[in-house]
Amino acid sequence: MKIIDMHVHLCDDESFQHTLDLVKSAGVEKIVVSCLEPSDGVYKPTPEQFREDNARVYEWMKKEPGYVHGWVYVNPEHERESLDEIDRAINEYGMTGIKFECGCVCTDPRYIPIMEKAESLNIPILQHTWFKITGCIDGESKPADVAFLAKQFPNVKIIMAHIGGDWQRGIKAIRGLPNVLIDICGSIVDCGAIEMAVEELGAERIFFGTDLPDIDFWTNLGKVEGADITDEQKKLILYDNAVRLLGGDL
Amino acid sequence: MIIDTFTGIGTWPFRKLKYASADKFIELMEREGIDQAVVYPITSILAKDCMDGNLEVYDAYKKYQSMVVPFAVINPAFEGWEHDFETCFDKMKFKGLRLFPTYHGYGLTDKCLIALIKAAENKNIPVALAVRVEDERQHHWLMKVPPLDMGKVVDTIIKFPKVRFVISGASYSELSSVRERLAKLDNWHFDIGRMQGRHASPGAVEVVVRAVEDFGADKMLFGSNAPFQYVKSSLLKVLNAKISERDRELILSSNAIKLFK
Repeated sequence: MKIIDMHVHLCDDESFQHTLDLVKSAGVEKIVVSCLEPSDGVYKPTPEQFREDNARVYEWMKKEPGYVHGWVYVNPEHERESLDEIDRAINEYGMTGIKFECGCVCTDPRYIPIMEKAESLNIPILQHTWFKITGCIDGESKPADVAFLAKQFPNVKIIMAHIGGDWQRGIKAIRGLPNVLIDICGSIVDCGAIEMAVEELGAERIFFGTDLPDIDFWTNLGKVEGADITDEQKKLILYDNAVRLLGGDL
Repeated sequence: MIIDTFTGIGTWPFRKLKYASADKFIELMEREGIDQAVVYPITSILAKDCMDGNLEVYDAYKKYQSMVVPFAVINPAFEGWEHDFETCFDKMKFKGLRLFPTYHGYGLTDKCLIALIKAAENKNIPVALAVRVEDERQHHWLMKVPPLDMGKVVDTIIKFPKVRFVISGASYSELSSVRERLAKLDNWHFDIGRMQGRHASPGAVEVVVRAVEDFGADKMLFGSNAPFQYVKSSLLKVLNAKISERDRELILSSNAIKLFK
């Protein structure tokens, strides 16, 4: 079955090569990548840091044209610089959408100009999202925050990453919002999560992703392969939905 | 041959587990190509009387003897555990013991646990220490249970050199944090059921490859944590890992056969 991995992080050339070797040998057709280094672990990158991150992704895109696609990583705390970086990444680098991590919670008004830019460019958002009963880190968005953002911008497609972490909360928070999509990536491997997502959201709103290189590729593929859903639904999740969303770029 | 060393059946109050009944569980194991499963009672994690769950596993064992390797859960902080221990191992012929210290409210240095492990030692019963049940970030808001302290896990393994321990449900990072201490010991294995990534460590990106490099395949047990988790996730990790066929066989079955014989 064809696969597009919509959620990959790369930090340096070594991890790029390891990841590339793995996904190619696993038969993955394309990967969509963001770089959170050198700001990884800081979560609030300066403009200099996110510019460097995105420049690295561009280098990898050039090394593997047509195979590596890019998410432009920005921090809404730096509005002007984020908007400029999006222009550069979309127009010059040919990236496909915007990646938000934990710069600030997505209910923050500083998201508004960036979301308006996304709407004008007709590009999707990949939003890190995780409800943690143990407490979120500073700037981390929860599923309810994504729902709030999605209602403000119904014409912007927002991918809620990790099914929101706590997937039961995540699915229920966004099920009535057709512009919110999800990816399944990350360390949560709970049996039943994919089935609930398909039943409540429809397979058309679900993307395959891994969170490589931190999280294991096979762990994530196993969630889809092991789910009690039809082959047609698996095909949508693993490949077809990504083609439909990013069709112009792929 | 594939032996899944990390599975359970029974009742879990916080979410519906589709394959938690014995019949549905066996259906899942057969569908995934698992030849044998080490099964513990999920019910016993939260039931006051662990025998509620042990009896469920015993019934499954009687019905599916060729598939089920029964492990009992005993809470040494609960009255009368000695009698239950004898019932499980002398009468019902359970094959191993699984402990949930953080759910049952005792510490790894408590006298009651020491007495239980000594009892297991006397009968040459393997002991699995459950590091966790579910990811702490997703616990029910009324019940936040910490994982086992890995340093104390190693202390316990050191204290009982004749007991065969399984460190069950640890992440790669947690196990790595005690790697040097574990390297000096022989009487332990670990399962891969909750090893989902190698979290920012350099080198190979497949967690099973990293674990083989760091700990050796002779220490590893295939385990899926079904029915909490997808069997396929753990299965694909081992079946596709770029390791030798000998190492793969050790992880999938040979280590378990040797450990639980």
